[in-house]
Amino acid sequence: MIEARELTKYYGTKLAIYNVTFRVEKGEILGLLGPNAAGKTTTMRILTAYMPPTSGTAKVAGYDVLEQSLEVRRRIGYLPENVPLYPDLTVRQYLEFVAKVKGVDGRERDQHIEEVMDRVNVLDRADSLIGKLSRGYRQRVGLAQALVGNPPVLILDEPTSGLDPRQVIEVRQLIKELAGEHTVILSTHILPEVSMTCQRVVIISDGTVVAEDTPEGLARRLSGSERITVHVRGPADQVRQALERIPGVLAVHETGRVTNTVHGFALDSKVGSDVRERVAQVVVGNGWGLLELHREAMSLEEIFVRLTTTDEPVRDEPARAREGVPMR
Amino acid sequence: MRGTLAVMQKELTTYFASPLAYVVIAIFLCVSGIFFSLGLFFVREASLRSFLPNLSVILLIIVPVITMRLFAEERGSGTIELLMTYPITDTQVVLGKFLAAFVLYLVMIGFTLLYALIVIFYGRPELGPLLSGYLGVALMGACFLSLGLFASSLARSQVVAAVLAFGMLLVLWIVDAAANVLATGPAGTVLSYLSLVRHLDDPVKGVIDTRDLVYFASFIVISLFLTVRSVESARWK
Repeated sequence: MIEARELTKYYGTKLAIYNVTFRVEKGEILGLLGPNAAGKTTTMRILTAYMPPTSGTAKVAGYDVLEQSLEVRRRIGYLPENVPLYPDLTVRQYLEFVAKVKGVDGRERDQHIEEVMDRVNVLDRADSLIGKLSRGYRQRVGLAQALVGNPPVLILDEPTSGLDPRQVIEVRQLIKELAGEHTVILSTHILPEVSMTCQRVVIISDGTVVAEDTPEGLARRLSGSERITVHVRGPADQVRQALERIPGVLAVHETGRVTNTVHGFALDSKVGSDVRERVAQVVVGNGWGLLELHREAMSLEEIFVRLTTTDEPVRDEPARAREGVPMR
Repeated sequence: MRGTLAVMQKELTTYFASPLAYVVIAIFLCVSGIFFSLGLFFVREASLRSFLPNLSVILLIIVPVITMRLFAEERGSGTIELLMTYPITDTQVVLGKFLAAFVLYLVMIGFTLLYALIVIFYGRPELGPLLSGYLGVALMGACFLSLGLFASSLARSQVVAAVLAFGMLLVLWIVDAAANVLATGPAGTVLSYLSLVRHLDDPVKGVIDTRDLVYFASFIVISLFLTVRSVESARWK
């Protein structure tokens, strides 16, 4: 349904996203997870045909965002991050405008608007000026305008930011209900949010995709282990057993033969217990050849410490995360 | 078409939902009323021949106020992001906004028909020049508005948009004075053709000249074209 291929975007000379590639299947909820300023909004703005990528292509429902931008825009509902709305219009006037612009048929328009307002629970404020609404209502009106016209694709940028905990639960519930008939991409920097709403997660950090997984898979990778890759020349079984005996190593997976005599292993170890030295000693001590030993380049841990791990948004990201010190 | 009308309607609702439209119309009528009555007392002529050209002075200041918010407000508040992801073309957006401003302008100018009625009631003015004069004022206003809309598309702040529009209109106005100074010679001819206000002379006298119509039409088309381009280019930044 949505296909982003090698999207790159420069603002002037500043790189915003680089080689972002992912797919979203019909009816799926995909979470774009990443710290602030990671490139989530840029990615969404490209998918909504608001601005063109510097290079790469994106397709929504088979239409190219650059070449067939109107066709793409007919099929998406977009909720931008800060929910920009017209303060001088009433909720109903605004949604009528959106319905007309989206080409909702005149005879069904009124009824459709009623349904949408009912769905996001703003009926009681239908004739209030948007400028006088509270943050929670504004957010819901923003969702309403995205839903007008029943677009098959919904792109929601931080849909729960600025809401109180009860409203957050309501909005998440609503998004879950929307899946199936709609394909949804939502962005967030709140970790529990993805596990609660999304079926699949793409993690963006510093403008690149660093991981793509299910929320369960991510949880496993996050359960306090660190991954180390080792290439050893030696008998696979014996090496494996020796590695398993190293204190701090939780599990050893064989990743396959590198050459005929060289085997690759992936070690899960406890965070903080840097086992690399021990691994080297064991391998060399047994007279095997150590060809490669490294900690996985982009540790998810480092990204996750910069994410918000509780439901309450945290204002300052820990300084040590920016310096790349692993989480203890 | 539907998109254009939707945008127009939204802009008109916004104009009349905020005090802007009422303030603008009230001030316009106040100043134009003074112009009208003074002219009537001094010229003692039952026509609007001196009144209609004088309107351009008021419009010079009023039109930037009408147009300043059209794009600058959307850019400033970020609503442009949503507007540009709706399935309508940039041209439809520009046309819708232009038409909304034009309708507001016509309503405003429409009130001055009262002055025409006063003149008709007390004297016997020729109706031809009156009608063609109003046609000229409507077209000249459309030119002012299209330029103001362009100015608004360049700015993020409404104040900057207004000042920009005022500056551009003022230059086109000064051109008229320059044309008077250089009355003889090719430079004067060119400048007087460029002057916006000069093209009101014929319609006010009752002459509908295709040269004036072509001038007004091309002025509007070029301004709106530049506006569309300016809106488009905002996407690439």
